[in-house]
Amino acid sequence: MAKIPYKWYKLLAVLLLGYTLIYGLLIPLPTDVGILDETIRNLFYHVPMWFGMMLILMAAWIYSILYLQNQNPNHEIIARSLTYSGILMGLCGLFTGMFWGYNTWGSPWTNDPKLNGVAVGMTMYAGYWLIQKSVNEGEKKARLASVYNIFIFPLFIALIFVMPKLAKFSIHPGSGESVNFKTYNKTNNMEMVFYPAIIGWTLFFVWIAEITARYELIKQRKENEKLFA
Amino acid sequence: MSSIPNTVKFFIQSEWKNKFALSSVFIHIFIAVLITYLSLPGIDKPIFSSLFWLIVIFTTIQGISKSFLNMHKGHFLYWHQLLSPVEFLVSKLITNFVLMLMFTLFSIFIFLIIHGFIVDDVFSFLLIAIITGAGISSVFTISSSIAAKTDHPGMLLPVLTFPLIVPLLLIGVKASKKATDGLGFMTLLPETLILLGMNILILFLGILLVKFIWKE
Repeated sequence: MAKIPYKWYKLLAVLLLGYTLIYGLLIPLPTDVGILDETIRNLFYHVPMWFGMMLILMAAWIYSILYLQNQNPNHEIIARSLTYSGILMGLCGLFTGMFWGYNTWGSPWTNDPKLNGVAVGMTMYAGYWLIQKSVNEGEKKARLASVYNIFIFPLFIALIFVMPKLAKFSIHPGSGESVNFKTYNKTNNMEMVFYPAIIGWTLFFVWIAEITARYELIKQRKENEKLFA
Repeated sequence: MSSIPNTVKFFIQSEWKNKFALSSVFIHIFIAVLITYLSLPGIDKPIFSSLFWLIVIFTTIQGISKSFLNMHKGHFLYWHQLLSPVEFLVSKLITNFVLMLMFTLFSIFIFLIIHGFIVDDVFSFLLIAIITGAGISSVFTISSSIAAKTDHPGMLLPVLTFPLIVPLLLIGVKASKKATDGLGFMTLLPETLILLGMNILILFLGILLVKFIWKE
């Protein structure tokens, strides 16, 4: 059997996600949540995606800075894998949110600052993907993509913090005057699942990024071997 | 740093030489505003500021970013011998700010003539337009310098640029809405400060990163 690197965090991810998926469906809910009803369980599958996305994109940002500082190609590969994983996480968050919105609000998309902010943010990161695909020279591609990544992350953060503040109202739970999950959560039992869910999902997507990065590294090594053979 | 004023002067002179490029942007703005008037004759105040900024960004992107997109590899190498990347970027930023100022003022002028004088607080509106325009022109400059280095600059430019100006644009639209309603300058103060802060952030990032964009 092949050796699995960094086994401990993958085990932790599996354990926490198993706990989240099973106990998240079993946990007794607060009874007075009104229209949210059973959909409040989306707290364990939708909200952690955003927390994890921010963490992973921030890690990608740091690796891009590291790449520009010491020109280590491995850092760029890690940054790229983390960014793609972060985009995937953002899309998962968007789809879980749309699924929830379809059942609660009656439509998958509403004019809500959080939704629109994330949509614009994902378009920014689509630009990152386009740079990766449209430049042929390896070193130049890595450099331009890192520069763009460093440039967009602060703007993305500014966007998702500024946009909800500018809006007059938001129907998104947990923002402005609308209902907050916390207001209903007087017994604190949901936090027993919520915090493990954040850690579990984040580790799971870091795992995806690690697999992509290792695949890229192996591919690069094979290409180099072919080049110098 | 002492070479910046001369470089700016040179850039503006070369813009002035390309009169057709400059005047095509002005004509572009004019026809775009005319189209908005023909399709939306009775425009009201909230739509006015959104429409204004839409027209400004879609007409000026070509005028601002063409200077980078038209540069060949040889041009980059030539400038590289004369100036440091930071000096070059700062000169470009100043030149593009001047161009953006001209385009924005011209758009306001045309808008107010064609749609009627519906801005209540012209001074605040101009101030917001100048500050937002400065931010937009610096984002255009930096992202077009990135796009110019890729293999398909013309295709990538709008995709790389428009998402980045959304934060600036949203605050600009909101502030200019307030100015259109004439709520007074004090109500605009928070937006003005946020806009200035974001401009500083963008300039800081651009000046920090330019030497990596420029390396050949």
